[in-house]
Amino acid sequence: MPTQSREGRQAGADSRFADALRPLVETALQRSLHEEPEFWAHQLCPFLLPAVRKAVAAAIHDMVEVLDQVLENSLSSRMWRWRYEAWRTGKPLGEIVLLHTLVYRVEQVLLVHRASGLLLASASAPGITTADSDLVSAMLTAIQEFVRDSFHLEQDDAIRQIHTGDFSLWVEPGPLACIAAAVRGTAPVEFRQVLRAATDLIHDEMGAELRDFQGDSQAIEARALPILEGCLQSRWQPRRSGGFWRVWVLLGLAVGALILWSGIAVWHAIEWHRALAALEATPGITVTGTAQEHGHYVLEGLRDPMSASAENVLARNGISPREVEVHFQPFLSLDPRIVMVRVRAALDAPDTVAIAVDHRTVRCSGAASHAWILQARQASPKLAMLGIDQLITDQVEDRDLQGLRSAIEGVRILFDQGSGIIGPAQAGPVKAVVPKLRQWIEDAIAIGRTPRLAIVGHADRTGSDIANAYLSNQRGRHVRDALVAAGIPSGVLTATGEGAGEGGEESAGVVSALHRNVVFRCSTSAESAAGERR
Amino acid sequence: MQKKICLLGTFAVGKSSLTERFVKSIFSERYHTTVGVRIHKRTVELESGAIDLIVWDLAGEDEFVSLRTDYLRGAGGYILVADGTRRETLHGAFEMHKSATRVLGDVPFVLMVNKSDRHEEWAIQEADLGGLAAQGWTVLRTSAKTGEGVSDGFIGLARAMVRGEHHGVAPRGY
Repeated sequence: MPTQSREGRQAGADSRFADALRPLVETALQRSLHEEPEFWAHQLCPFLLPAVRKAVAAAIHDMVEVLDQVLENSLSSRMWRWRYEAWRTGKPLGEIVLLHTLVYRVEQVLLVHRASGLLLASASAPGITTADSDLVSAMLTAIQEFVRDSFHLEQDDAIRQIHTGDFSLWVEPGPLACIAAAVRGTAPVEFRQVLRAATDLIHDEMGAELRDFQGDSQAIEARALPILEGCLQSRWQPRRSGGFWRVWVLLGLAVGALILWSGIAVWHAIEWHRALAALEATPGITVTGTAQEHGHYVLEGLRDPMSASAENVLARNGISPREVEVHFQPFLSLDPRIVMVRVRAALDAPDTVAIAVDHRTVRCSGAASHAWILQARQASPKLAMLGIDQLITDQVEDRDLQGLRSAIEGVRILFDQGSGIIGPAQAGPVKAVVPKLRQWIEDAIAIGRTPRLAIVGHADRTGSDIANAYLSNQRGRHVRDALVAAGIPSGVLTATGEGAGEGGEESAGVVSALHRNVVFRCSTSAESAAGERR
Repeated sequence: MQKKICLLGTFAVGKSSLTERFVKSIFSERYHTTVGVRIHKRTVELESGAIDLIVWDLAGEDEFVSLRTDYLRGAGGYILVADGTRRETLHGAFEMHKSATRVLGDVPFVLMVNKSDRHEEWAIQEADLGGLAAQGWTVLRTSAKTGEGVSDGFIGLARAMVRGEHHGVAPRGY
């Protein structure tokens, strides 16, 4: 105890000496710095730069350590166990953590006037809420008095330590004031020396004030507070060093997430550009601008009403309509594919008709009814509005005309052996075929075709070739004459004889009779293209 | 500024009632029967500023319990409490005054004669109190029930302690 007091007094003397020297040293330093700043810069650089480097490295290390600690507190199984314990016991998590990791912590230090028990100064650890310290100070003094009185102790005797659970109260008495430290956990015995040195220092520096204390503690409090704060010591269980593996795991996860996110973004961009290219290749759609706003795309452009839906095109290419806001203005496209669609719609073309657009000309092919071909040929004004000058329907097979042709070509006018005369047996079929022929000719002309009807006579093989040639020719001519007489224009008709050219081997008389005939061969040829021009 | 004052009185004079109503405490009544003292705090506003009175409420003395005079040490003043309906409590207050004077010397004090709300039952005569006042005592008729005189007592004692005055200086408003 005497040694400690000497040490305390020595410390007090040193402090007073330092206080006396301080103004002189400060003035000298300020003047030198003002007059020779470069000299000081040169002198300090070798010390400052390594110190700065060290400080930066330490700051980074501290940051990593703090991050690691945060991760450990959030993720470690130990922390989850503590969370469960806190939930089970109803205690705050902070208290549970404190109990498990704390070696000791000085939570509060009081400086108490011994005679009156009045509080002179107090200091608390951060986050510690304390009851009224002045009441605690007085009660502590009362208990000291109580113990002394109850056990007949000397006046200078004092309680030096009180234990309860993991809490202890350390009291270090001085002649005029005592320091009481509230400690949670188990403080080392060396802590007693800290308290003793603080008590001695306070008595050395503030002895007079303590002796004359009449209740105003302001002056003492201001000077004693730094000393009391020096007693707020603590020690925690060292953290298990794990090489900051959590930080590396977190960094790895972050990098992985970044790569994944970048990959998704790139893949999405590729998909978007592919969809955009498909959209731009779609007939009747012209994209004039794209933008990305608030996580979705905005498309601007022109769209022909006959073109495919932009949303459908994008959806087919993997872009959901929810991701895109489409602002398209309507327009008429001159793209041949769209013109073809528009022409088909204008002509109301059946599926059996194929349409090809070449500049301002539309070529139709396939097969259609006679009525449709007629209607199409009348649609020129409508097509003109679509920019079409010429419609060609030559290649469209007229199914109705074809039906008439088949019916006409199925007719066979039979003759008696050796006769080319149109008798009653021949006049009937000739008369019957006349309406069909007339219809066929009119219909062909109506759709711009030039009808040709070849009237071909035949003979059986019973006669000579010369006789058969003559006879077959005569039969053809007689039928032509009969048709002309019935009103069929002669310009359409040609009559020839093919002798016994038709038929196979004659095996029966009936067959030979069938070979003595006249048949019809229909053909049409397109009129000059100019005939179909508007 | 803070001052230690003691609250003295024999058993059941109403000290606890006075403290329960007019001071702040963090310690339970059990301290009286265990340690023999309860500590309270009362802040009073004076012209010179606020002053915290740390009130040591000493357990009432009776035939079984004697006053722990060690608790008086360092007090800047004290309050004697007597029960107006029991004359013997005034005698007890005298005895405690003697004890306090032995320990503290000549420091400010006031005598609170409690239960003024039951004045018709009083056993202490006005003449007794007049005699004390003539000796320089500051005598207050108080009621823990109505609060009469209690604040005046605390403020008067605080003012006297700050001025360094001793007994016989009446608080303002008496």
